[in-house]
Amino acid sequence: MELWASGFNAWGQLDFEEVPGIGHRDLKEFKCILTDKRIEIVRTTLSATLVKTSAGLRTAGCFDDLIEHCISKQDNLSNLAIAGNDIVVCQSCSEQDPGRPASENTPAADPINANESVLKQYKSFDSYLNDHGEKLRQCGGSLQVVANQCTFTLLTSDGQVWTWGDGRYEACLGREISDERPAATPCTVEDLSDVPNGPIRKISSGGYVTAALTNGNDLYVWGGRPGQSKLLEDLTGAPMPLDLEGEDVLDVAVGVNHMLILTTERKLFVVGEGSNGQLGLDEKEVPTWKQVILPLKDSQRIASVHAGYKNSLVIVEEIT
Amino acid sequence: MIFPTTFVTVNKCGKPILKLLLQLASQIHDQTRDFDLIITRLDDLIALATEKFYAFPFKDVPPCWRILFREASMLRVSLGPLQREEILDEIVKTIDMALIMTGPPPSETGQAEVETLFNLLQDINDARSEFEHEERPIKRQKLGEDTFPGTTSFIPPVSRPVPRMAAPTFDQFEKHMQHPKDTNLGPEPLIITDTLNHWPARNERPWNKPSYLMSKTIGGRRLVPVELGRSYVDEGWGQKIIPFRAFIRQYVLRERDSTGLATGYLAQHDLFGQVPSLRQDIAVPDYCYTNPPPPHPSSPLAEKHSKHLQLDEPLLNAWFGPAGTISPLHVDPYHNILAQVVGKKYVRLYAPRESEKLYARGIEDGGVDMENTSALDIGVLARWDGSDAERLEAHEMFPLFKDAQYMDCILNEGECLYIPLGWWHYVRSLSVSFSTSFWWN
Repeated sequence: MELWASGFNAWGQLDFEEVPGIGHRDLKEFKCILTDKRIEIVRTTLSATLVKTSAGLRTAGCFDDLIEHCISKQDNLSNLAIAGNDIVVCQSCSEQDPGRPASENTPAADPINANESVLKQYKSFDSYLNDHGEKLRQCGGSLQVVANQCTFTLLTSDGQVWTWGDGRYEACLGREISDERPAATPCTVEDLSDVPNGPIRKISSGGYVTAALTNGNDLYVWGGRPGQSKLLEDLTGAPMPLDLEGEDVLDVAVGVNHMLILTTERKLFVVGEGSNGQLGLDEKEVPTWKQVILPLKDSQRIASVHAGYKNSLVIVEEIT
Repeated sequence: MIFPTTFVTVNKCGKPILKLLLQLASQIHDQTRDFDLIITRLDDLIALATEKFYAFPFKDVPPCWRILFREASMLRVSLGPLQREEILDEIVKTIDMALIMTGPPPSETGQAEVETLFNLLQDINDARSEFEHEERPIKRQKLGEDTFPGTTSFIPPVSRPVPRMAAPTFDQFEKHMQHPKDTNLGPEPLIITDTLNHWPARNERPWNKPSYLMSKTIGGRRLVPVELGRSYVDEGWGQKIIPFRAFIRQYVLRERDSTGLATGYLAQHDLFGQVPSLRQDIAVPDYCYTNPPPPHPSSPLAEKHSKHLQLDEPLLNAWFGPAGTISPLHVDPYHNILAQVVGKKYVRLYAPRESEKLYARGIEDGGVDMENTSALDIGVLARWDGSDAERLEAHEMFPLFKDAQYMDCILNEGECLYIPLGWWHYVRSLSVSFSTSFWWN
């Protein structure tokens, strides 16, 4: 497998190999940055990339507190999400102390049993480390919890999407705010509860946008911040199905102000801001979806996409 | 710059940000790195801080992000002129134009401020060229040999040489002026040798090296007024204000694409008031502090000259140009020591009592007083310039000229010429020439 990347690289978070010189340059087009039998992108932060390879965890860039914690625990803390406003949400087994290794009990990406789990919110990563958090409403066994600048989105194992966060940005919640359904409390996104070709199997969030992908490979997108130009033309606070020339969507990744889509035909499409090279195109901005073609061998194809902070990472696999 | 206390707070943005900001600050300080990349990273940090302003309700934005925004912005500003040469060009041009058009600020504080500003711009330029020197050494070799071209083909013969004296004492010189050999003639011109040898301009701050002159003028960005045309009495004579660099390249070095351009002469310009660092390369000769005699009665301009107020300090002017510049026959309003720093000049001098044979122009149409300038073109009359027909016509028009007595000389590099008040002089550069005149009374 190969890890390809393009975009923001101020701390060398895309340089798994030593690069001479002091300043790390952004990658203006996709290039292979790591090769291994098995590669899994487990976490990206502002300044670092953490991947799991056949040889264990590997990192690039400059460690922040989160990455340091991940390394010390030898776990990617997939059940933990940090928003742009520092708020941390963690879904964990009820009896579990977040300071204790999680990997033994809760292997990454395994659904957490609803009855045994607890959803907690912390003001900052420091509060998380000190376990000074508050319990949130129980949403059910979670498959995935993600954050963008101010919103959390949680996908349960039965395909329900829950959102909560900063009420100033209602569009990011994908649902209405009311006394019964306040912004700060996890509530379901009704528009996504009974979609055709459902239920939802994956969510991704970044900047002020969230995307949800159905079992039938349809993509729903919502969000936006007033005063900011829209990432997508008809983006609103109501999840809307995305029509990308009729293509079925295999994978999706939302970044701070850019977005990647991998179709079932293994075509890669990008949109949004590109000044750091995050689109793999030497363009400052791409207002409508544009295909990016990676110089892959005939025997290779893109397996998945991931958006970091103003950079993009894709896993390339051998076709078997 | 950034103070240690800042980092205590920026620290809250996280270790990676603190590390990057420190790295960028030290790269800027060392001036050894890729400025474009530094700018990109500062912009990235500003963008990141901006994102935080939206992510938090405004009152809750952690102070560290505000400080990051401020520090990155300040560093960004400090790099502006380094990043883009045109910004430096623009700033220097704007201030210099104001100085040339309106004169220096009236107050001493104002003058000091302008000087501080130019010193800062000079520092920024030095940092920039150091960086370029390191990164792109080839670009720096553009000036080639870093010397000015040699002599022109034509050197006028000297027939009545001005006497030379090696470094006379103050008293000897005063005596030369006060007690002339011929009282009917008054004090006579004198070439003083061996008195400029200690000038930095002729030693460790070499005015004969284009690169040195560029380095003292913010990379040649300072603007200078240039006279265009063979001489200021010619038709089509004009003046323009151009960067020193363009003047040196086009008019002095006459680099390619400069053929067809008129002769350009940086003449009678207070360059040292404008660029004080060049003023430090020369010294006012002691002779300018002697007490000179009053205007000689044989000069028709004596009365006019006697009305000039006493100067507090000698007046300095720079005269810089290629071979072939001509100052037509004229009289200065003061006693003059002309110091030849670079190259050589031919000078012909006529005593005040010859004035009536020299056809002063008087008050011309439009009321311009040209009484101090002769209608004669010495080059044409002496058969150095123009055609035979022009010469004959000139002699016919100015019949008395043939009887005018003169002295002449080739003023060599490192020599000074004393031109007494009231003496007419015609000056012609024989090579690239840089001289300084000191006027006093």
